[in-house]
Amino acid sequence: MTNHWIDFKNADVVLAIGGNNAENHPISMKWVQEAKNNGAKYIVVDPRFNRSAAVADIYGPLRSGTDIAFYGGLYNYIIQNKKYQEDYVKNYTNAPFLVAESYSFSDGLFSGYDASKGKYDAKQWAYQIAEEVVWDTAGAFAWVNKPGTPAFTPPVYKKAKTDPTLSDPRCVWNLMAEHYSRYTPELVSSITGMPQDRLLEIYEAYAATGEPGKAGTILYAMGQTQHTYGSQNVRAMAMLQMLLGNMGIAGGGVNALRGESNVQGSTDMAMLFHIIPGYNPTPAAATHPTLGAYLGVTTVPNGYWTNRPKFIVSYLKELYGDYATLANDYAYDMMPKLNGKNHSHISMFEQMDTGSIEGLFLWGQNPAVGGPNCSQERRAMAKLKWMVAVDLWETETAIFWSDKANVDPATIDTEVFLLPAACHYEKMGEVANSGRWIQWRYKAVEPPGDAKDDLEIATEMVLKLKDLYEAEGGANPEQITKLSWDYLDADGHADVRLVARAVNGYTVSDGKPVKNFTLLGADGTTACGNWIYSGYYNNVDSLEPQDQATGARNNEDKPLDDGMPAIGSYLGWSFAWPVNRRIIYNRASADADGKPYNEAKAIVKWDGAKWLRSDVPDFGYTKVVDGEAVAIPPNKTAFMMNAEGVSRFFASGNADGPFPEHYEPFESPVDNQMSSQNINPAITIVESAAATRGTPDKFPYVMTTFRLTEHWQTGQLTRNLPWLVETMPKMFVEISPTLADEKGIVSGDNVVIQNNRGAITAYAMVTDRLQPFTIGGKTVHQIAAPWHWGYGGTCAVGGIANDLTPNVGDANTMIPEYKAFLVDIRKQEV
Amino acid sequence: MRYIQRQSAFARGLHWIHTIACLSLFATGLMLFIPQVAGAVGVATLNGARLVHRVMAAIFIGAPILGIIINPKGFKHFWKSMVFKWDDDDKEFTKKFFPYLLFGAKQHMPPQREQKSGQVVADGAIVIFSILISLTGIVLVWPATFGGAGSAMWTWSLLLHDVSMVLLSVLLIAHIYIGAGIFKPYRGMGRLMFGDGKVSETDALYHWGTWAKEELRKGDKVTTA
Amino acid sequence: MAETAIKYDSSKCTACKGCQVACKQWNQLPSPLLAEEYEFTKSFQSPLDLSPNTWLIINFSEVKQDIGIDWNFMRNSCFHCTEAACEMACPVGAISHKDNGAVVIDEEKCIGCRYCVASCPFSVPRWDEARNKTFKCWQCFDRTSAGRAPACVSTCPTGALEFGDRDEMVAAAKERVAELKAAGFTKAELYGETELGGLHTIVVAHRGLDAHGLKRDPKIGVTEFWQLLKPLGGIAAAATVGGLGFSFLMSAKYKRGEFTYDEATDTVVEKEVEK
Repeated sequence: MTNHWIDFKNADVVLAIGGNNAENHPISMKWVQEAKNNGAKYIVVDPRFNRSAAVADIYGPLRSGTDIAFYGGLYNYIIQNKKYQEDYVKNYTNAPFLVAESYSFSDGLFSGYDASKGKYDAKQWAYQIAEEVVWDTAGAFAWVNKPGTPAFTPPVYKKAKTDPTLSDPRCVWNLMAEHYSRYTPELVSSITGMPQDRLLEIYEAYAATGEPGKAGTILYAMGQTQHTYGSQNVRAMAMLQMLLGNMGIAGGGVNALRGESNVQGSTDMAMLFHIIPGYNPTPAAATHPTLGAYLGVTTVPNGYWTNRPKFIVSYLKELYGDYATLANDYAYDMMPKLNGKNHSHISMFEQMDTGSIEGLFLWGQNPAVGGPNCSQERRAMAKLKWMVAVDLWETETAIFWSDKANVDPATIDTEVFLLPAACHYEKMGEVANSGRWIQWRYKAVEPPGDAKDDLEIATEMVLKLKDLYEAEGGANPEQITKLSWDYLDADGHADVRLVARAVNGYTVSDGKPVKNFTLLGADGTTACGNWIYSGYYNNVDSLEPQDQATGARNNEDKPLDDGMPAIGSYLGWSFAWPVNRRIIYNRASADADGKPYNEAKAIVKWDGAKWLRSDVPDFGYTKVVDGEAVAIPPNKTAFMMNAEGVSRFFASGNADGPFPEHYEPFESPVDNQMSSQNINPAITIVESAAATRGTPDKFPYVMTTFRLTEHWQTGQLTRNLPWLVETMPKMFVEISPTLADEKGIVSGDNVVIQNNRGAITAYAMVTDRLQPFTIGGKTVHQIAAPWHWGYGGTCAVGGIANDLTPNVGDANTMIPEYKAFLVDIRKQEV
Repeated sequence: MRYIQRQSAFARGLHWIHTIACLSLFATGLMLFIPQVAGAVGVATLNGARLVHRVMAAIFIGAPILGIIINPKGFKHFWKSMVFKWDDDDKEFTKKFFPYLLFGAKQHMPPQREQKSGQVVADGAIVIFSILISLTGIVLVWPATFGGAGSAMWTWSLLLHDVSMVLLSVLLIAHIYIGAGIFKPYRGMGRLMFGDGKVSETDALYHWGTWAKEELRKGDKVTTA
Repeated sequence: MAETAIKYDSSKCTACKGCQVACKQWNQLPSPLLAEEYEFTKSFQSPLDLSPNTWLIINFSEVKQDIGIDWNFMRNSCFHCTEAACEMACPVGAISHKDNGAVVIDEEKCIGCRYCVASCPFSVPRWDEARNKTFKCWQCFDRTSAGRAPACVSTCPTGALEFGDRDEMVAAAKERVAELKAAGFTKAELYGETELGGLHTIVVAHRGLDAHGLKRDPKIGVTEFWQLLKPLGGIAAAATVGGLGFSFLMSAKYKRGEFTYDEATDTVVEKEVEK
């Protein structure tokens, strides 16, 4: 989230789209309700009338996978009706930036498309360059000359030409207005299936937040991301917030409601193949053979990311300790490098299927139920030599080989281990919530039986591997033997507090924690496991969590400076990364002169001599001159993580275009009404997905998956708990009465849902919560099923919805398209 | 002095079996009817009492049914005696009933058949309310069969069971008062149930004049002792 | 102790069932362990009804609209009536009012007669065959008597459930109804202020009592008459005994001769007898 849970209460309009916050994030409603109590409107846009819709002021039904059409129409409405926050757009976005002539768009394709590769050349989506700015290595960038700093070629900042009047036809603003002028209400209604009057009602209500001083917030979840254009959906929301001046303000922002309590923490810690901790790119063998090359290529030429070398060297120092020196590139060679192939979830299972991955370690993951096209994933797992599942329960994955999974165990040679793990009440550690708050949790009870803390399991394994590599050698033994694993207490057990301090970062010479990441160096004097967390565990006198920022429990809503409003930041409660900032990009909450757009909910305010703050400012607001802090007067750099210093309507960093454009899902019942490009032209389709792609003649119904309040993910934590099972005991599929009539199905019937990937059975729940859509004049039925059930356990078993979902991913992230695909449905013959 | 055999051994046996069942049902039922009693005796006693209530209820219902099966003639006779035409004697009896009960020393009644008009009314009421209390009792024991404890059927059964109980209690008290001969005009009639079931000629002629004359004429039930 | 009440505001309820589960957890009410023991309810309402081991559920009902539905939720549990039919009906005094208004079954005293089940106008108490006792919500009296809110209230994320002084809850509910009416929920109604002498669960029904399935003007019904029967029965019995006693006294001087019958002449002769 750019903002945080409590901040929802500051909104004037709350838009929940592609997320079902009342059901899947129940606590969110505490704050949405508070906003409503203060007069806010709550809008829910979803294919299903869900429990969020039940308490919404306005509900808009939208066919799965048509969000970009919805946003495109909304931009068009805002621009046509001049509802945008003009001051904000001009000062804090790249609207005035001029785009190179190489950029063009025609019939669903952006310029630079190579049809043979199915890829774009993003270089064609560049700005017109005004000047090239090189780093001042004598001044601001003098740190690159410090002894110990690895040599690299500083990047050159290509400063763009701008037209502050927004009149140049090549400025981003005009290109954008032109691009979205195609998204008329008629067309959007015809694509999304949302009746036009309802569409306009929602547009009007949300666009009203473009008025300076008004705030609109967007709450979203997997309904936005799990599409072949999921990243563009997210970008589309950011663009909407920029248009209306809703980014960086109290009650605004783009807020991802994370589906698991610590999934924010897991991305922060880079439980993904393409990044290393702190959102730094994973080194690639071809382009980053050396540390210098890595730093030269990946360091952003302007803005705060110019500090990347400091974070990387500190990270390497933490990983390899004393072994990491300038002489050996800070052990950069020890880092695993990308080999040019994709290693996302979908690809991993493709590689298991082809035999190039032989072993699998699953840590609290249950792909046998949770993966896309997961019967295919279960078949791929059968080709593994070994598999280790670390979990609280015997997951479906751990018994993928058993007759419960409807396979013959004799045919499977995979050796499977199940390591019992401790749950969160049984271990100490931290959890980062969606609002980036890193909250410390204490152990309440001992884990049962042989169950162990994950850290303990990892540590035992690392120490054993170290011994084995020491004794027996092998390929690149130093990768393991030289790994610093300095987290052991006197008894040789892992101590999570030591891990936390290492993540926070410390000075190498004395081991004392650094105050925050601004004190990290690229010269090997500091070590830091994850720069964005720096500051959360920095007490130099104590190792105890209650003495750290992350363990802080001051439940008082107090602004940083007197005279500023209390806006629900609770700065004394835990630690929000970065540097305890609760609302990021908060410079944009005030105009170019530092005057807050909304005084009552001001975050920062320039009083003529200094900045007044209610939250931690997200911009350079003081500098040290001759040992004294001096205030920096207002400038327009509200987005310092971007080289441009502004936010981007037009962005060249995506694989599938600088503007979000509507395409149909991989499997769709209709043709794209926006262009002749039916699906996102930049996606990669793995072989098994291509083989199972269904067409509407055989599979005419759109299906989506969803979660329920009563269950969690693949159901391990809930299907094994009778209290929760009782509240939602059986797998079901929601069907509109119209479709049910056509198919002769009544509520309670067993139905078979089928496509080329599989067939599952479920109980039919016939309900008016789902209604057929009219798409391009044609009736399109949508059905929906939860994905919580599986064959494991005894309390609640049922069909696996993900047996039907396609293993095709987003063009940028490869997140699977769980939320829109085609099926057929019929009553099960008895 | 002659005597008429009015109650057979079978009838007397059935009467006493039913009496025991009835009194036990009354006693155990009353425990639940009066909260103070229930509170005082405790859960264990109450549950014991409820068990007794059920067993006795089975006897209360079962004994008459069994009696009818074993002795259909007797039932037929009883049934006939209950069904009669309402004649002038009955009208006069009705008129004089309460004066008779309250001023027994002065009031005399017209001659009666085997069952007095009052008896027919009282016994009829007992029969009807016994059937009602039995049927509602059955509903109460098996609520699930009758739509659950919250169903209207069950709730009304509960009410009617208790209404029946109150009415039966009143009738029972009156029955004891008269039948056991506490009421002076009936003094000595205890023999009918407490003894060998005979009634003396003089009592029979006084209470059931019409019937007594018939029996004395027939003579088959007449003895001298 | 002042009277307290739970306030349920349907307009703030998201039917997350947190209350339903918290109730089971705090009161340690078991749920079935095997999949075969569960049924598909065809609804988000699950279980469909209260039971000896489920003292609170959220009811769901759907009313189709032009776009979407009205999804009406209602908290289904004990209302803790001031004039509590269950308490009246209980033959053993096992059901009583606590000072704060909570109506509580004393499991020690309960004999499983189900009279309360039959009496409750809301069908709340549920009898358990195995234990032969009846169970229902007790407004977490163990918690409230220790100054805490009931488990359901303390787990509610949206403030749909609140607990506090009854007068304050009623006042807040009235204010909320007015707010909702102004916001377009013209059928919004308050429930529990006066019903059955005043309930200790106050409800704000934003789409009206009927939409949320609340019983308008609930009555104790036959239970009241049934309870009246107890004194009436006593009076009837006493009157009978008294009347018969009078009769006994009045018949003390009763005297008659000895009758004999002469079949031949068909005459009855009365002969004076000496005592």
